[in-house]
Amino acid sequence: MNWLRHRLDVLAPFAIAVGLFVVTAAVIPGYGNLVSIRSLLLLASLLGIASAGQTLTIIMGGIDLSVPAVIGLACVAFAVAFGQGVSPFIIGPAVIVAGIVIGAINGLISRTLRVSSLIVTLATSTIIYGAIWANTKGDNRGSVPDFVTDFVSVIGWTGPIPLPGSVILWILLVVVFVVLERRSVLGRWSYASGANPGAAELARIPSLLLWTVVFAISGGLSAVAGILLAGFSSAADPQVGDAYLFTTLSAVVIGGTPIIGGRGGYARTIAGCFIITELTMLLIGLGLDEAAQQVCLGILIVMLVAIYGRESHVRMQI
Amino acid sequence: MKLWSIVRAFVLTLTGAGIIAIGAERAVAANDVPAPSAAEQQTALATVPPRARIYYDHYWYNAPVAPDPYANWTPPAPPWQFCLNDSMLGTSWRTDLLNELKKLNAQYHAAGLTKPDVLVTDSNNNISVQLTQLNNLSRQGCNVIVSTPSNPTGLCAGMHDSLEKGVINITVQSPVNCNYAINVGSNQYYGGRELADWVGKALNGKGNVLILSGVPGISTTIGLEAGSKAALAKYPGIKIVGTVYGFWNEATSKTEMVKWLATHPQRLDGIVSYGDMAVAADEALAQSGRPPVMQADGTNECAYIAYWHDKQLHSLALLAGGGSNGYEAFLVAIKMLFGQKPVTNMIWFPLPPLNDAGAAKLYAAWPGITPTSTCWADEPDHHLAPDSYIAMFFKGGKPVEPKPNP
Repeated sequence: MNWLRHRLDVLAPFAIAVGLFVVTAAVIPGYGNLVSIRSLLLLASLLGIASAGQTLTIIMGGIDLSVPAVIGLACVAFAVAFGQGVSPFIIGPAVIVAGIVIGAINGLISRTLRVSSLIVTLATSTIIYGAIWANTKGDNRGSVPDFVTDFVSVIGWTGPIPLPGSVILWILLVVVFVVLERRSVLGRWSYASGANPGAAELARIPSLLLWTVVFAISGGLSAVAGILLAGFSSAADPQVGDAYLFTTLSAVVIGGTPIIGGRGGYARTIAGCFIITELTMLLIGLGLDEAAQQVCLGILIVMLVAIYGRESHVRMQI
Repeated sequence: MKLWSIVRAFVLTLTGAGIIAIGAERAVAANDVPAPSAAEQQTALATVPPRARIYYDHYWYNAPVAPDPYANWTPPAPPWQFCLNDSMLGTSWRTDLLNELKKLNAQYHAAGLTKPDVLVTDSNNNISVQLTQLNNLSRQGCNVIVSTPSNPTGLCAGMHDSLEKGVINITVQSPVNCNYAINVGSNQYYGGRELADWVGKALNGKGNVLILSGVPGISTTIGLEAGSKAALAKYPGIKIVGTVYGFWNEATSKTEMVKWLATHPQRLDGIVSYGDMAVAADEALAQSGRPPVMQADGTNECAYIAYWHDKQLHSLALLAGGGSNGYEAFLVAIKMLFGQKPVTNMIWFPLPPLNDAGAAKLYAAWPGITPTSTCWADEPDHHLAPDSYIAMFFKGGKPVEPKPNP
């Protein structure tokens, strides 16, 4: 019975994602066409890439509230530097390294000072936004190379595949993350730390190294999302990541990874990304006003989590 | 987990969501600002120069029009301290505003009339911080505080106190609801009406039109939308097929447009957008395999001017750059410092329209701009209204000398 219940919990988000697509396609004419499907995949992939690091930090028992700020920093730094003539092949990797360093600092401080990562990453966000302004003075003039814009275009192709590059990148990321979570030492340490941090330390898991690496991954992927969003919006905007605080956390939790960590995984977050994107598209398609969309989205999220997200924490099940 | 409990939770929650959603939609619909009585409107507009009254159509969507709050005020002796109480300096629009104020301040400093620097604060869109900063600027001896309020009422207490100290409070971009400041800018309702009317005419009165709006629920957006809807209502063949909120942000606009287009397969003929979002909307259309539509946009951001040129669009925009707004705000303040009395608290001008020829001229004046540029392509003279138009709002005092050179 427990096995069946566990399977149901895992499969429910995927079933809901598929069900939502079928319902929306039935209700909204034209939703099943190729352009709409590619739109859905593109928007879900942007959210999926931004949510990847967040998933791992949450599994480990942390939380990364600096995702929007790192996205904004990467977007502005990439577009402004490219606009000033810096090669995208120099500024791109440099921005990703900066994201990795910011993430590593988040993890390092959280673990060394034993301060909640929620507070540390919130403080980092403020510092990042301040640093962006101090450097640009609000003058975010920049531009984005065409190949980045094409990478996140609804009608973009990747070689012979009729999907934009960001969707392909997301698929690769899913494979890497699933292997990382299930087959690597880092993955096992993350689950152990999220399930019971005290016991994990007693089991000699190097928590400082773990937190530093996991937050570094989150920072690096947030930077990647920032570059992609620069291409998507064709602009340098420090606030471009703001929408991704609520949505990345929602995608992780709706996918079935509990906010207190120890369980779940990135594969589930994929379902969460689709559910969030499909729900908003359904509500827009039904012609609901912005206020009504927000109300419905909030209620539907609570409903979904109530259905399959109420399992007790891992350490309470032992 | 019982199947029945899941079904029950699902049905109950969906019902609840439906009821709340309908309530929310009605609340939004009820957001329409009630009109003052005819007598109240007449009293309010009595202070406005007759030639300018047409630009105050449905003024109540923005803020109350009232007599000059500085009627009993006398200007201090120079040198004057200019200050900027900004809600968020993080955009190129706001940077242009600041730079224009600094440039004009430097001209008057050279004439010995102003202090060397403009004092600046930035509240990162936190209204209580902005209020504290306003009070500090007032204490630091500012004679003119130019504010960009992030909220129409949040600065009122501070403006009341600074007005009592003899400080000139000027707002740009967003007026305040209290009569303690001179509000300089344009009537959003009028602007929304102009844009939509152009789209209606360009479509020969027939077709499906989408409104790409800013932040839902704020007075600027409500005014713009109300004006646009009123203008389009004059064309029976025009159907407003939706309103998308882009939050004046390219990424959000494009995301929301992509979602809207994916779920609305019907033909789209026109878009009325309110600035910072036009290129995102057009890119979303192109990437969704849709043909270009007739579009009017509320601003002169460089990206749209360049896109307009590159795609050879037929469009309309309104000039509304930060530098130009800075010039008009400075002009009003300096007139007051020279003893000229404003006749009203609300100095509104129609934003100059930019047609295809005007956009081509502006593109030539801004070499190197592209559809990804984030600057604002102001006219070289930085005027949003002729100085003679602004002069209608003043009486008495001395002529301003030297004249501000934007």
